[in-house]
Amino acid sequence: MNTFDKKSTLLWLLTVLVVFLVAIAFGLTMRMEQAEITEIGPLNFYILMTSHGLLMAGVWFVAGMAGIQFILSRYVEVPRWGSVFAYVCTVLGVVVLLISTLLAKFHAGWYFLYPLPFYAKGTEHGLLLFMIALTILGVGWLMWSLVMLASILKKYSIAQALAWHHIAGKDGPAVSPFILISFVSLIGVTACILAAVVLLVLYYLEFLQNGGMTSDPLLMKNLTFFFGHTLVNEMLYLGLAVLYELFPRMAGKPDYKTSWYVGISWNATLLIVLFAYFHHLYMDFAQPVAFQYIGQIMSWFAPLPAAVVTIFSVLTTVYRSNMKWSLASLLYFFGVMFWAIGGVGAILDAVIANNFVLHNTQWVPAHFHTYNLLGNVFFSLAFTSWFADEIGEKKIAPGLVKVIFSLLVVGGVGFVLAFYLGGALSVPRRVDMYNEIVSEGITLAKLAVVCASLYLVGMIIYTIDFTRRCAGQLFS
Amino acid sequence: MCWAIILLSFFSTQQPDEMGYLLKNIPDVPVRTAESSLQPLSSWYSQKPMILTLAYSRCPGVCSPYVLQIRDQLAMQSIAEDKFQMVVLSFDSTDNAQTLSKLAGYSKVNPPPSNWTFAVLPTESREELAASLGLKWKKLGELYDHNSLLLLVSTEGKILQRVEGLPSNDQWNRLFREITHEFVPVYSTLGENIWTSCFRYDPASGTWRMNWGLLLILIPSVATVCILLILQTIIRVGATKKIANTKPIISHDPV
Repeated sequence: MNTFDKKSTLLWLLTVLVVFLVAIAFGLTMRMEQAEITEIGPLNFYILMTSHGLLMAGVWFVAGMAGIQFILSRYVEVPRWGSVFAYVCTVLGVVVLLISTLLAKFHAGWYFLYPLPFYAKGTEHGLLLFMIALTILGVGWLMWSLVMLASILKKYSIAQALAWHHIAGKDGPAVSPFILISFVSLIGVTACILAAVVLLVLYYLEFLQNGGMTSDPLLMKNLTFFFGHTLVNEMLYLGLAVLYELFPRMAGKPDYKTSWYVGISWNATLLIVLFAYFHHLYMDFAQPVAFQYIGQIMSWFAPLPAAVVTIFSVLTTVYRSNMKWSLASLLYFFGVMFWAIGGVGAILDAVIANNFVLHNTQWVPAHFHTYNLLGNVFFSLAFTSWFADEIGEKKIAPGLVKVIFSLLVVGGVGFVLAFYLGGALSVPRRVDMYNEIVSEGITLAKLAVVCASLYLVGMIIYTIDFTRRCAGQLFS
Repeated sequence: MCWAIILLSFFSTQQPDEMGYLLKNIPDVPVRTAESSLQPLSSWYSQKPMILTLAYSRCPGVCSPYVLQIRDQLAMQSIAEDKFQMVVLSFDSTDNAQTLSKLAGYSKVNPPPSNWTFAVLPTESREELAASLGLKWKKLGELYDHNSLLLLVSTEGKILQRVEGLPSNDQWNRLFREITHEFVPVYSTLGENIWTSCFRYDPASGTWRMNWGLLLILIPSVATVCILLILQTIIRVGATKKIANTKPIISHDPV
């Protein structure tokens, strides 16, 4: 491990943890508003909702990328400038984003669904700043992704990196699951950021022409969810790539090998994830019916290759192993299990007949918080914990592992449970207050506030401990 | 010079904001009818959709051909009279039902259909209604300078359609389909000027076909494949050149 890799990864992880705490505070305030504990008003609620959504997606995406960059340097030489450039862009982008929302009052949600941003009152500067923020973030992340793809391609051809020779049973270099999953994920990341590029170009054109040009809302929504849905899925896979590399060693088992079925599953995932986003457009009657069928079928197929193979691999790894249950291995194992639970919730929502009932209810935040807050975040925290064990001068106290893990699991499960119950009771999502028809939402929001506070306390302890153990390395 | 001015005016002219009024409620103002009694406007739109236009009978300009055009278009349709209410409203206090009826080409021997109403807007209600409908009027001596409006108002008093000037065939078709509650999957309001549209809809035939805006969805995936191939090619070419430029190590030591 060279000094640059160590310090740059440490800087990424510290930044991620700090921004995560801020984003949790935003989410907690939103739930407090829904619980009628605070009175910040609808405008501030939607400002926080916009900031919270984008910060969460962005921060855990870069956490996944930082993990990939760190492990990838074991296999290939990765240019340093990609990570540095992405870091500068990310910090700058986050600052501009927060100015656009908190100061310039942009409040159209993370999805900034067209044409809503043009109609949100008093946010003309907010929209421009928001677009600039996304542009900065997009440029940084796209370059980072391309730098890592190019690094892989210096050692492997496209066919080799996709493990086609393993699938065909032919001779060739041994491609680890980490390389395969990273390559597949980075391709998806590139595609979804390019979708954001097309989307932003159309937004800029309309903004600069001041209404002289309009876009087709159907096209804009397709591009928005191509970007958003794919990015959120790929950042999960980035975490999984690192899991494939680290988890068997934590259990004292041999490294995972890329077998033909692992190769097929991740190649299938590459294609499936690009089409699954159609399930976000079930309510759009103008969308071609064939696309709706594709969205339905791809949503059913999506969990089969990646999730089933991963869950099977993790369970067989743990079975009769000499696993030393550290915070990292606990977070990996439970992260996979919660990812599976959130995935089931997602598939239920992606069934067209169910979607008619669940689409605008809290079932939606329920499932994506399950596989993000308790899945993807756990994957990245597992990597962070492993990283701290590797480079940290001090070890984490065993008692603290129990406290942090209990707070994260109890708080996280209670938090998403409030959303699931809300969904089952038809409590609407994306609203700042509930009327008497769905007054259960207020009680559930109070439960969520308590549980989110537990999670926040767990994260504060985790961040302080991580900083205590590792921050010194940054200046050594 | 003239062309330049025309072109400049084309770019600087503000297009009518027809979409901005949609689904807005119109004020339920009292209007004066043939019986000289004041009745709320909701008397006509509360039972069935109302087509509303504003005109005045002394207008030396567009009012007469405009109302006649509306009359002819409605006459050509086979929509039953009980399906909608037609209201011609004057903003000129010197008007009455008879003069307005005459403006529409009706007389005692050729009476208007039963679903037509002619009424005059009292001066005190004029500003409120004009603002809600986007009627721009200015008194010039004894006459008015104004824009021509055709509106479709729902039974809840919401503006469903608003056309400034003479409606095109598409706009008429859309209006008639709204009155008859015909399901319209794609509105042509997206317009022909949207080059990124996913579909083209022909309101006359009710058919649609895919447009190349849909292809934009493919750009990210296609571009990603191209980028990967380019990256691989550049790396391979670079590696080949590196090998070719590497000088062979020749030993000068005597064997």
